[in-house]
Amino acid sequence: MFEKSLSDLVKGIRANKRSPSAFISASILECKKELKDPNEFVKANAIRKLTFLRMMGYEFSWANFATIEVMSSQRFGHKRVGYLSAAQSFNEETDVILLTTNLLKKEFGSSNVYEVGLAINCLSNIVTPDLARELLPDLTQLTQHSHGYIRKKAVLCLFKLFMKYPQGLRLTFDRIKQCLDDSEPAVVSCAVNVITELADKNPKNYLLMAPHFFSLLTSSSNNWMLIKVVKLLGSLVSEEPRLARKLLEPLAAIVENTQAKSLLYEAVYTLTLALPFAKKSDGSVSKAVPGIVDLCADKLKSFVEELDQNLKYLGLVGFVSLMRSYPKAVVNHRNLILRCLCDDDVTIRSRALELLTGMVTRKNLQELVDQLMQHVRLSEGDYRDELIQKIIFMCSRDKYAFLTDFKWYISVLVVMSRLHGTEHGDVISSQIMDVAARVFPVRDFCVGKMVGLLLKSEVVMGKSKSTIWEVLHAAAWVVGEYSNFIDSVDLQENVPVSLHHSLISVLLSPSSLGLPSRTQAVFVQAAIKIFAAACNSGSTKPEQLVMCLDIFQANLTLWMKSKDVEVQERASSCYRFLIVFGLLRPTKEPELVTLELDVMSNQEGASLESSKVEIDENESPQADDLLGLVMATTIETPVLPVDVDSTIITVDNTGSGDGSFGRVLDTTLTERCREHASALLTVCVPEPMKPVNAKAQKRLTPPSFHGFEGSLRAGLFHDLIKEDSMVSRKRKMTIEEVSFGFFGARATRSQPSSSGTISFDENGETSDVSLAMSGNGKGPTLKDTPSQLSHLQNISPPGDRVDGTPFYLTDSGVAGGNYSDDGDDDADADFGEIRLGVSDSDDDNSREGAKKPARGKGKKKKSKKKKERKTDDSFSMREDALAIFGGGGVGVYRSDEEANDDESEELTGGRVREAGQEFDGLAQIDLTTPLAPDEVMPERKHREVPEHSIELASKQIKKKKEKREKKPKRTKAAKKKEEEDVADLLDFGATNDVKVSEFRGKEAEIAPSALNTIAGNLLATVSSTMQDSSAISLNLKPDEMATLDSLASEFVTGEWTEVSTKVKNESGATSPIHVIARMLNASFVEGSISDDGSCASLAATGKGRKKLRVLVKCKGKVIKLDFKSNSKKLAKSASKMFKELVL
Amino acid sequence: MIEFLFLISRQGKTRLTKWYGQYTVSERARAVRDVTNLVLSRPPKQCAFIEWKDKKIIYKRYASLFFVAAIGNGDNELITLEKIHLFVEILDRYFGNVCELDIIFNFHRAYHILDELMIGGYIQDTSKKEVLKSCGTMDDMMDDEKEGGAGGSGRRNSSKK
Repeated sequence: MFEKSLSDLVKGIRANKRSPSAFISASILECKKELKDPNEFVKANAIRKLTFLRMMGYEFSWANFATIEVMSSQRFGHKRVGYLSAAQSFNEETDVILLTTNLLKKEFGSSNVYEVGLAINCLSNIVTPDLARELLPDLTQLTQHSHGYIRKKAVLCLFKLFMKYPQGLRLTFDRIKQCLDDSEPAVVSCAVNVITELADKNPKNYLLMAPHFFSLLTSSSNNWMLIKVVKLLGSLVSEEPRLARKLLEPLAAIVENTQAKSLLYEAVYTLTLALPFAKKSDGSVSKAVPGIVDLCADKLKSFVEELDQNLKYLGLVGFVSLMRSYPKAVVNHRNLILRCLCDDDVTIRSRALELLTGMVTRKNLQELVDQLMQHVRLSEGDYRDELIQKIIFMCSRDKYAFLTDFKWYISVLVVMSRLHGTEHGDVISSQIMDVAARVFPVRDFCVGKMVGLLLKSEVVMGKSKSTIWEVLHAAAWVVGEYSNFIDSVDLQENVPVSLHHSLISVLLSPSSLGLPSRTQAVFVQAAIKIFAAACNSGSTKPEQLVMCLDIFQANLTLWMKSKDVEVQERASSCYRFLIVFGLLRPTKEPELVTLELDVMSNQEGASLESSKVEIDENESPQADDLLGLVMATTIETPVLPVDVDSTIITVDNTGSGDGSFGRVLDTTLTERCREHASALLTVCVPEPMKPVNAKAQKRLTPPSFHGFEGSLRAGLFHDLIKEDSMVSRKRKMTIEEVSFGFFGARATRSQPSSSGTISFDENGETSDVSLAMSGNGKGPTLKDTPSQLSHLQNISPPGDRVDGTPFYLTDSGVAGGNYSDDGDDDADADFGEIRLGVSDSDDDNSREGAKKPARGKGKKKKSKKKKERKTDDSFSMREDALAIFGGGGVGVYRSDEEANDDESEELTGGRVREAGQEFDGLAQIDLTTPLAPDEVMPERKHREVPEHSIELASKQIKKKKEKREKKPKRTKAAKKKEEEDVADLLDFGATNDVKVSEFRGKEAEIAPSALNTIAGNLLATVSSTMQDSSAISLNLKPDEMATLDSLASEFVTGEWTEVSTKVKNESGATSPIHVIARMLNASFVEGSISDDGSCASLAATGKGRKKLRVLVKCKGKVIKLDFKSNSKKLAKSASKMFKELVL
Repeated sequence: MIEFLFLISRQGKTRLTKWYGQYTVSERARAVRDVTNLVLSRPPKQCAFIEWKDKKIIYKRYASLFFVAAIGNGDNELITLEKIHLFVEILDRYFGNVCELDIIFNFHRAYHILDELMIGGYIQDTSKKEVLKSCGTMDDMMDDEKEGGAGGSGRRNSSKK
């Protein structure tokens, strides 16, 4: 028989370049046949070929057994082929891996060092938790091998074993320590390597060895090893700050002297990690520190200046690390870093961007962002999105902490919103809304910008809608909400009729129907708000108003046909509104109108209500407002007849007017517009937001008829009836007298609320607030109610409000710091604890305070304290506040995001630890405690399968177990021991192949009466100890901790994910939990109880790894006790004992 | 620790894969695909470090072959480049001016060398001499046994130098 050699195969594949798969599958078939060949050479060759093919992405699990056969060949050449194949293909799921245990063991004992080397290499690749446990003793032996060649391999391989079998670390760490003093430098280097990796997982363990490494650091000249030593010491720094101070100088010496860039970088990087810890306990720093900071910055700068892109990148990474402790040192190199933004390499640009984001200050923000904006214009794709995101982050971070000029920021946002194809439309839009709502002084500016955006939207929309529509959403909202500023907008261009008119025509133009419905809905709402403002404004001419109305007349019906419910509803309620006010003419046929009107008069209430409900939604965060609103809706009803009358009159007019409704009635219409202006405003523009701190909200008692379940206040009806009769008597009352806000109903409000008229305004609300507050013993905190009212009545000068409602930010660039200073005084005096949005203004104030050192210091401290306390509240408050905006899609940087950002800003201790699952176990190992007597090297023994398990185990399991039994039987060295073996007690690996041979099924069926006692007793003990948390970790000896940890981990992985607790063993106590503890001679027993309390479990591990678990299940009156143990005897005696305890 | 090491040809063919971390078969396939695309799509003269998932990809091109290594986040990028270079130098000495074909036809030898250089993702010996010496001895041991079997086509030339 003549087989293909490897080179034949490779040549064949290369020859069949077009369709190699046919050739390959033929070759695979050949290999399959060859594997059955008795000739070793043929077999080995086939395996080698398969190894090659595997690299090309083919998978042959059927060849695994043959691989083992080749591995066990006597010939070195075949062995090598086999081990290579195994290393390449075996993984944790490979079943035949169990067969390698003895093979490797045998190989470890070989006299040929290279055979041993092969085996170690292979083990490092294929190690599983089982293999690790079985081979740990043998491998540890090899670290004392006479050949350095073996020693260095064994040391490194040990680390791989520890990863799979963390307990092994405690058992063998001494050996690794000894290897540090090995005669061969390679072995020492390997040992350092292992300890470095270990220290990365859990530095505490290796603190004691620090002096040793410190001397290595100063004496060694092997750069490969020095890097490891530097890294190792760097990871110890977070545990021992004194080390940080000591390290600075030798590291600086390395930085200054070494030629190797890699070592230089590692040293600089470690220095940047150590610097934050180098402060002495009294907060001072040693004299050397500034010099070292400069040195680091210098070296990093030279890295960044290098032509080599790699070094440039690393330099930036180093700067990021340095910035955490000494931001000033980095800021000096701002221009250098800015230059990196022009780099071709995206990786470098992103790094530089990250760095720039971190170095923002109040002074340089504007300059930095302006520079970044230039890059935004030039860049594209993901990187541009990243840029935009960072810019917004820089500006808005810490509640606009670094922003001084909000006008400028608005302009930046507008520029960004005009970019095509970015993904940040929603963020930009919510930023615009946020700024417009919170910064009074720039509101008019913002409205102006938004008007510009809206009027040009057609141009932008033509090219790319993707971003702009989201911004249009914000623009429409801002313009609508603050429509009173439209008058003052000075657009450079000419508009055909008036600004109001063009805005309405844009908002209601049929082309806007192409926008997403979310935006459409805002458009409709904004249109009517703008109209209301137009009516209210003195400068609008009558014909302009009529033209506006024409647009409504022409387009609104289109919108009412929208597929989206929200748009439809808003459009139609807006439409009905205007009809009710007599401003629009229904589009129906004249003869139908009256009939329609009848229906309408019924619906009017509903439509009015629905529109109010919308406003209601906008204001809902004020719990009390509900009160005002409910009243308002109720009060609306009596007025309606008046309006219906007027509408009917309108209809009559229409009849005579021959359809030229608008033109003929110009004057009447305008008059009516004027007449209804304030009512319209009231209906459309919600009153200014007064966000309430989330905590304060909770403290408020909800109004009595908030929910329907409570009893109604009788007085309310009384008031209503009174009002009703009053209205019907007067008959002249128009809709504008009805108010649920402040703007229109001045007459009503001028009467104090106590006089008997209904108060559905701020008075009613604030009285509740102050009540709740005084209830809390804070005194009359809302003293300024009257003043608030007074400045709410005159709608504008915005600055006035700032002090009263700290939600609003001042634009210090525009309005200076006066507001906030005053605000601080007022706020502290008046608001006390529950002042709304306390932290917002505090932020401002603390910054202001810093500016004026004379008065700043004391206050700064104070506000800082407050800030800390209030941080959480302010987050939630802000969310609430944002929710008020309605329209949805606000929430830019949500609270948790901010929280995360804060976290990332904190000084993190040392390196970021790799959070791989595989290292979890290793990180838990504590080396600082002496070995407990029961911690011994695992020994290989036969596993004994108790007969009981067969009863319960299904046939499949039986088969599996028999298979497993085969392996131990093959080993002759194994001894049988009386004590039973715990196969996988320490259930750390992800897969748990070997079942614990367990005893199970002692179900003690006990009389119901006794059952309750025992279960109750058990459950009570478990739960009581659980509550008594002081018992959990006190008086724990460290060596006991390890056992418990393993237990705890089992509880977590099992069905008992609930709280578990540990109970201390006290002699003399007779509760079941203590009985178990005594029986096992265990110091601790762990108990856990299921959520519903129907199950409880107790588990303990005693001396000699004996384990017992008692499961108590209560089902009605039947209680089942289930004993599980790895020792048959123990389970039996435990069940007996429990029976005795009960019966 | 090096998580895995690939040799990828300019055409995207995998020439050598060594896994030091734990990966399932499908994860391996995906990693090879992703990393190959990532590395080959980089324009020349760019930074040789790529952040990939929670790892860093370090690559370097030698003639038509990309040597790609994935390392953990805390590891030193530069020293990884040096490790790659060390590997290349040893290959070069072993094969005598190594080329892609040497590695294709002697892929097992490349693995053997790598195994002598690294264990479980860590450098075990930084001395080229040591690595070459042990590889040479092992090759000789194989030759002694091979009775004209499928042995060394393209044997190493340098051992005679």
